[in-house]
Amino acid sequence: MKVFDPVTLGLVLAVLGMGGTLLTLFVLSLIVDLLKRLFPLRRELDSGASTGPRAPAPS
Amino acid sequence: MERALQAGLSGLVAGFSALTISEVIMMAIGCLLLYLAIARGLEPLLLLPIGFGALLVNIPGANLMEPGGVLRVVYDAGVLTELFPILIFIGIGAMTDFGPLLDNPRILLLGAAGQFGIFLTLLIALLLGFPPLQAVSIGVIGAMDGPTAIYVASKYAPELLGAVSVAAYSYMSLVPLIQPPIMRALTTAKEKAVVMPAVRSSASKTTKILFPVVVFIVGSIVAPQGTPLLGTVMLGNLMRESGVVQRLTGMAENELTNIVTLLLGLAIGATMAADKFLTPTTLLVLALGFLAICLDTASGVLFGKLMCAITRGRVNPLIGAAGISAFPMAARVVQVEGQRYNRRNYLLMHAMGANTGGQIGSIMAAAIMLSVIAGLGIG
Repeated sequence: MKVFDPVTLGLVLAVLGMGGTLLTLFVLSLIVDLLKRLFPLRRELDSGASTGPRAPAPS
Repeated sequence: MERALQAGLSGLVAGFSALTISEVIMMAIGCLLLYLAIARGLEPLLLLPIGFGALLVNIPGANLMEPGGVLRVVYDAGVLTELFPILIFIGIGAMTDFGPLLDNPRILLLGAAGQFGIFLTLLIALLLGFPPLQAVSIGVIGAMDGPTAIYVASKYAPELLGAVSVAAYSYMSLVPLIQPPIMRALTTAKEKAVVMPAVRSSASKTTKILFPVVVFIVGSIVAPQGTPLLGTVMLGNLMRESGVVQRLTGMAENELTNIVTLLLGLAIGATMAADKFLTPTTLLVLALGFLAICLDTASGVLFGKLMCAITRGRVNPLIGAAGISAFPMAARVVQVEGQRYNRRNYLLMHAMGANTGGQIGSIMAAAIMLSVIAGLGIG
């Protein structure tokens, strides 16, 4: 097991952890956008294939 | 005859004579967990078996956690192998509807911000002198995700499993009490009253089917150490969204999750033996776990404020508090708080999106941490 001082280890984990999580989820959000463009809801609605639930509208 | 009676009687009173104060205290803690589960309805599915497991393991002379004991068998088979949390993740994936998240994918960022408390707590735990792997396990309490916390603790710090699990599930059930004061303190009256437009369903069935596959592939390549976590939750979700294996989906949602939850709860309770649980370290773990959850909430709300500023007031910062994994309690808290300041405000679906984002975020954060630890050569 390698030995790091606590501050260095903590900062490395915090920076890489927070940065990595944020960056990964940002990339995933871009991919979801892309998927929605490639497979839009309307096309499937036209062909009667979609089962997407509707969110309740505020009254 | 008299000697035989004495010998037989000694077998009956052996339990009383061997009972220690520590075991009595642990039994009281077990009863407290049972009370919270039954009378208060706090996470009863887990706190009840955990509480009873704590009673079982602290009966003197029963030796249920000794080699060959029934609790030891369950613990070795399901917790030591990390099997139980992994199986539960299949059920969670099968139960989760990522629809609100797919309708507004940017909300995923709140699911990332809601995990910052993990890393800040980890840093504090290291500064307090905890060994790195124990500090990681303590930080993960902030994921507000029971199976993730159990998975990491059983992998890296099994000696803290009882404290970490009890902290994770207890604080998760206390979200409606912990979060509101932080949300109120960090937002202005104007921000709390921001009205967000209704969420319209915009994700096609194809998108919903591809989503778990893409998240799994991308997430696992970024953080391979988290593949078991991400893989099983996304497998469960793929089963749900594909609609072609309804029997398996139903089984994962019900029978599998129920059986594993019972065994997992008992196994966690079994780690609460008096000599291992009643230590100053346990108190410190509970305190740091609380801090982690407060920091998660604060970072989520602050990131919500940032999104509010960037979008020129189109995002209500309160939904940032839902960027944790405690589903759906955190989303409900946001809805209640939003309505408190603006009766026309319906934040529930936005908060549900952030909450499911928090579920992915917590797994991703743990996966990234495990991979960084492996990269540093300390895992």
